[in-house]
Amino acid sequence: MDQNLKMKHEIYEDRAFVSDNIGWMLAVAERILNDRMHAEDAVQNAFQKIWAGLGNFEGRSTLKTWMHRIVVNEALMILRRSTTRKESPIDPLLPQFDDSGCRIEQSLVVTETPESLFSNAEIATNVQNMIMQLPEKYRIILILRDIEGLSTAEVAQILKISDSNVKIRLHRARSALKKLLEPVLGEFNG
Amino acid sequence: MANTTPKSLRRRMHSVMFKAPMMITCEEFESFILEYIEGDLSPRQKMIFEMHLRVCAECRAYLKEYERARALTEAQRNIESTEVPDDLIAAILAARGA
Ligand SMILES: [Zn+2]
Repeated sequence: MDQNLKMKHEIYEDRAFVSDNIGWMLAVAERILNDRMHAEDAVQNAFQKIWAGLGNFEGRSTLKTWMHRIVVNEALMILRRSTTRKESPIDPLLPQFDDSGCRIEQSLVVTETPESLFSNAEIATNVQNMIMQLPEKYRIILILRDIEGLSTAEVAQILKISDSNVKIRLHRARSALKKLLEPVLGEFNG
Repeated sequence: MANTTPKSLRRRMHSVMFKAPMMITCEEFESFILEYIEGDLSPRQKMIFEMHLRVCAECRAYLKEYERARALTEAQRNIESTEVPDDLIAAILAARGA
């Protein structure tokens, strides 16, 4: 291949590589950062790391998994730098028990198909907004474990906390989100 | 006020029941949920957990909603960002060339 043609081919490949992956990468960064501009920065940084490391990519995971971890890390890096907003405590959203350890809960009639009340898109938007209401140290763990699919050990390593701490926060985050989602999940029973 | 009586009565019945052997309280049940879902309970713990699940309608409802919330969270995974600005792609490609 002549030099000029080879260069053109590489430029075309680079462009296709970026357009194939930028959509999901932006979505990951936006979920973590909840800010479009910061998410774009994270993705831009991630591509730099990806291109710098592509030659040494060892194939121990799939290319997409490897890229996914890079964009997660870049987003978390920006998150740590950005100022933390004032947050309300998670406790009012956690389940309540009486003195004998019995659950005090307004029970719900779970509608078998909440889809009948809300469209899938409405539900997805609702879920997204409710996740954003969780205090950050819970929100991040919920996102990394339940949406991004990282293991407990991976999350513990990235956030530099213990496995059991990850599990405790994950359970609280899920419980709190369940509470916040009650209007979507069903109607109150009495 | 009429419907507070059955609830408090049920709670009193529960508090007696939870003291029986192999029985746990709702609060103890709560602390096992994550390990139950992840399959980390011993066979004996799993049996005790499931026994509470059978006798306690509140915890049954709670676990069902918890699982539903988790499924809705996982569905967020499929959302892709639709708007990708050209200047961002251009900036990324420019950095590649540099
Ligand atoms: Zn119970």
